[in-house]
Amino acid sequence: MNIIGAILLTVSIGLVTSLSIFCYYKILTFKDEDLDQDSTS
Amino acid sequence: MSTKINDGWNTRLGVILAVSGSAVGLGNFLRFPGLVAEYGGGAFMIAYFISFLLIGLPICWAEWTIGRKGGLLGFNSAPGIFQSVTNNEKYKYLGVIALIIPVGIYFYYLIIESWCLAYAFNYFTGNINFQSPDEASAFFQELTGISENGSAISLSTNHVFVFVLVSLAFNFFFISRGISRGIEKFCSIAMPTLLMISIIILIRVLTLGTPNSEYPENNINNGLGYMWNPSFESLKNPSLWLAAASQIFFSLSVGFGVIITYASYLKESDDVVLSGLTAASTNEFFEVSIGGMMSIPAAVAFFGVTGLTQIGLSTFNIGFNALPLVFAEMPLGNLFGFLFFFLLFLAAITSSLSMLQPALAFIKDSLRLSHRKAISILFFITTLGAYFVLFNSKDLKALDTLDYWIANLLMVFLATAQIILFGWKIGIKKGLEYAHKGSKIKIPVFYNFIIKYITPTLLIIILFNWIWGIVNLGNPNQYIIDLFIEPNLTAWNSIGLIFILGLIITFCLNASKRITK
Repeated sequence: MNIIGAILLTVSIGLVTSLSIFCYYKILTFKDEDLDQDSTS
Repeated sequence: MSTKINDGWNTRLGVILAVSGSAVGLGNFLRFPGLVAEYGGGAFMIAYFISFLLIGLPICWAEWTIGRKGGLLGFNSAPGIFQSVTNNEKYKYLGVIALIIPVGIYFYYLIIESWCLAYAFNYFTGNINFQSPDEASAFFQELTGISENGSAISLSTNHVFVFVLVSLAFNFFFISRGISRGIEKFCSIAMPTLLMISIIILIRVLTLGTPNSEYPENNINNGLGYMWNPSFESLKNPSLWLAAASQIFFSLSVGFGVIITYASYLKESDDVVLSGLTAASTNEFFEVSIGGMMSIPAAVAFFGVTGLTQIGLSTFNIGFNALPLVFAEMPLGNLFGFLFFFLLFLAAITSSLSMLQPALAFIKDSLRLSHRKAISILFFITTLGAYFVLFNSKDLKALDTLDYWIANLLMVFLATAQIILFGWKIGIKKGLEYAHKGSKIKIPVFYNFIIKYITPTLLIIILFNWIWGIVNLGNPNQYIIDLFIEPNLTAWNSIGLIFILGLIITFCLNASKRITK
């Protein structure tokens, strides 16, 4: 694998993995009270 | 006597894992790597990510939103959902297509799922140890009955029939338990298991090194290079962009009729924007991070680029011919063979379960039947359809014909219709207002423009490309040849099956006072 291939592989995996981690972090730390505060404000 | 079933999701994570399970399937592990290798390696990913942002995410959000809104208006099946969110009776007929797609795909997907189970079982019992491509190919042909119609129907474990019965039992056991006790519970266990097995196989593949010192160029690094070294010139090829857009589209299971049904069981306070993004990102994680490094690099490490090219880059060739040969060469090959095909079986069953739910919801919505009676009707119809595909196994003609006309043409049509419905009929302002109810994150403002103009335009281009492939009689494809030039009875019967399915659904729809009123 050449260096550009390695960069594209790393960036692609980095993008989808970090997006997944961000989403699951948000989901798992999401509390219904947050939503109530949002709607109140 | 009616059986009381709790129809609804228990947890936020449960619905996300169920939607992700619906999306993660054979395409992630077998189709995606073949496309990357065929279309410019790493350069393909540029088109792929652009398609994800411009096509995948907008349709995902539209489907989650339309589904939840329809559910709040009292409907769990596509005809009722489309009619209620548009307040226009004519739109219920769009729901017929949204039901034909999952049921029609289930007819043949159950058979492919059973192939995976058969391979897993035969690895587990030590029946598989191929020494040559011919042996691998002969086993696949015997299992699937590709040489003669009806030849796969026997109780031998070298034929798929017995595994179809087991898969059928699995699907109907979980679907009969309802949303939370069946689909949600199964996906909550299956998805983490899928992740664990994937990681074990991935580690094994990445530590293969140079399996045969006589051929030092056949190694895992060159395998990764074959898949990922970019050819930026290929970005000028329109076929690459169409392939990337199609892969995103099919991989995320959008235009499938499943997400709207699953989302219809959500409450008004449930989030759809973050949930949609999470389900899509889970699918992308399995596809890029795991599917992108597993099958093709392993095959290149053992056979080299020339060897793999001779076997072929199609989904079935990679999965059922190339990889069994890889496992035969690998230490503990039977264990890894079993794990890999069990992984595919799990991925397939989470998808096939999702294909049954839209029709089940429709039977209950339209005919007002008890859960048990609705399950019986669904079982009868889907088993007949699956038996048709199983029996007509010669050259996999029935499977191939149904896949082309349903999974390609009807799915693109439905997705195009849905995004236009969301951006134009409901209206982008109102649509996003619905989407943001209960939402933890907001859809970025520039998506107003994308959802209204860019996504429909791109989908119409893809749709016209398919239609052009059909009407271009100067250069007809195999599917047109099978119907009009050298008519094939199985191909015509498959088309007939789609029509009969459509007629049954339309008849039930018109007979249903509830959806019509």
